Amino acid sequence: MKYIGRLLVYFLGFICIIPVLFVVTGTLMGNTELASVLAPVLAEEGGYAGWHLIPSWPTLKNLIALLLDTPEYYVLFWNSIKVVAAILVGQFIFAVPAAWGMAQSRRKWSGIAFSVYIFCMLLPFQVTMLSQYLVLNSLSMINTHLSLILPLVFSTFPVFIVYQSFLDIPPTVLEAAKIDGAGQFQIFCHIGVPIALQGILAAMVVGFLEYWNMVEQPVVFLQEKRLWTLSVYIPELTVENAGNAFAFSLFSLLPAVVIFIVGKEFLAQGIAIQGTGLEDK
Amino acid sequence: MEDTEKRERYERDETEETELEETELNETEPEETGMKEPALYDRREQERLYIRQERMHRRRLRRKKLLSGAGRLLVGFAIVIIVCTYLSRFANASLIPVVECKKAGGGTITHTIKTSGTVKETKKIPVYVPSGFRIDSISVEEGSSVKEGDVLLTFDLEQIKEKDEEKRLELNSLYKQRKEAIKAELSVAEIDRQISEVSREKYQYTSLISLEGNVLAKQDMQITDVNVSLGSSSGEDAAFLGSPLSGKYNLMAQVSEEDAAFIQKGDQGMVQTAAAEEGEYFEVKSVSQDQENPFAYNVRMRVPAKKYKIGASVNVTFTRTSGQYDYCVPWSAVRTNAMGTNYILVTRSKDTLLGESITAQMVEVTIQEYNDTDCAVSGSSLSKEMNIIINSDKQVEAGDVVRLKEN
Repeated sequence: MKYIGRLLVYFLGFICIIPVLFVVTGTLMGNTELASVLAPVLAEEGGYAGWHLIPSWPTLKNLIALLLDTPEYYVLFWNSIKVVAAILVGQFIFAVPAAWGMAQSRRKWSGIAFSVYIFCMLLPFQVTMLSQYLVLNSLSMINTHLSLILPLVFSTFPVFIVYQSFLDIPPTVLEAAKIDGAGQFQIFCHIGVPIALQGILAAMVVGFLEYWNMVEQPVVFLQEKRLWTLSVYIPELTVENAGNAFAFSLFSLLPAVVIFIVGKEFLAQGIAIQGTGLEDK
Repeated sequence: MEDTEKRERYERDETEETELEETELNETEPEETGMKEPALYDRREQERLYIRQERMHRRRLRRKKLLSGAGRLLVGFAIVIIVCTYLSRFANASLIPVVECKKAGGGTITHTIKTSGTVKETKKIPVYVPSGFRIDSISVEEGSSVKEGDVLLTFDLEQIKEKDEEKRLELNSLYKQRKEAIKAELSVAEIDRQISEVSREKYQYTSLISLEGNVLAKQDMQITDVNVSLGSSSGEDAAFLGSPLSGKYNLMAQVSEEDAAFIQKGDQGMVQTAAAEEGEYFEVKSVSQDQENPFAYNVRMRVPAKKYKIGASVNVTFTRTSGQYDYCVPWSAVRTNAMGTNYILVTRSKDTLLGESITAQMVEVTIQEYNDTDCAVSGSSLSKEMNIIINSDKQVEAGDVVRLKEN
């Protein structure tokens, strides 16, 4: 029974990673092989597209072509890095103090403000897109990276997560600090942030994965192709450049995978802390 | 951010260690007091605590190891990406064709047809010499120019003298006959006719003798044909054919059928002899199809006889400039695709991922007129603002990104 359960888990896990496997094997296939398996889809021939989990004629051609012969990939890559890093730094500067304020204030309005925040978090981007566009346009920020960075720096999601982490700090610790003569800022810097660091990092990792993959904002706010981010650009998929597209997808995935491996611990713990925090409430 | 993270982890580890030390110290405490029951309980409890903490410690160490592994992964990834960023830029820059461009503009197409022509006489005049004499020497040959009074040929003087003597004797006998006839009162008309004939012949011989057997030219001319040969006797037919040195000669030049389309009556052709570098212009009198070769055309011009010798070979250049065309491009700009369509490539700036890039765009054209170097083209999508690619250091296809040659 125990083994059956484990097998089931492995099986489901395998199903989950099948798309990634497709991308990896697709990258290793030559264009001829890709053309033959994808012909029903791309060339609109009859029948169903097939797939080889192990490429018949594996080649690194697509990878090399992407890494050494496609400066476009790097333009997009560094654009993505720039935008995501700026957003995360901005969030650290603005979201953490905001969460601290709302978590620590015992006044009535802070509760109301937090409710409004939650409400904002529930609004999907598509709903606020037009108003965001109008504001950015009047600030002449359309077609700049600022149009992606600025709205997300003040995103509500990290505030929400960090707020939960701050709530978990026992009031007694803060009182002790206060008695020892620490000011509000000192308490925030030396007690609040270190204790809630797991939550903050979790918010950052989740944020990275989310902003790395954002599509709507660049498509709506950017006009020049040179400003695009990785997630927006997928080469027009034809039989000729299918290999190129697969390599591109794989390398768009890689940074996210690396960040996930690096931040896996924080993510798990941050979410766990948050979970207990919610239970306590 | 990483620093605070590390420091925090370090601090945590430190506190853990002190905690461990404390538990070890605590372990001995109950034994000293001698309280057995609680000591046993405490020991078990503390052992469990110890094991738990040990396990946590090990887990933290493992995490630390993992984190440093992940950190290394991150740094390695970043280095690879940075290096590849530069490499791909270099590769890209070296693969982009550098092109030379020219603003689209109108012009004319100049056809230059170079051919060689031969000077030919306009009319011939025959030169007769006394017949029946052996020819001792011929002073002229085909193509030589003679002036009035120049020696054309020399007869054997001895033979003339012999014949002259013969005629003298003949004449003497005729005179005798005449005297006798007068005496006999016969008609002398027949004899008189013979006498005048013979004396005319004798006069010819005598005059030849006085010229030492030379035959002189009666007018300036160029000898075109020599019909006598050394050692043989002169005949009744013309010994020489010549062309007068006054008036004009014909200059005949042969051109191909396609070139002939650009030459018509009234055009000017430049004639150059090998010696004279500077050419002279003469009018084209006619352009006609060759009798023998239907693909060749003969162009006839008139040149002054004074300057050109008959039979001389000269270089003839015809230049024909077309009307104004809207678009003229060098041949190197015109390309042909597999379908046989002619097209040119123009530059177009395009918004690409690498910023504003210049790409080659195909514009279909029809060739209107051309010469060896240039081509007049027309096309519905041509415009004066276009920059036409006329040269490139690598093969350029439509859609390729190109770089403009720096001047």
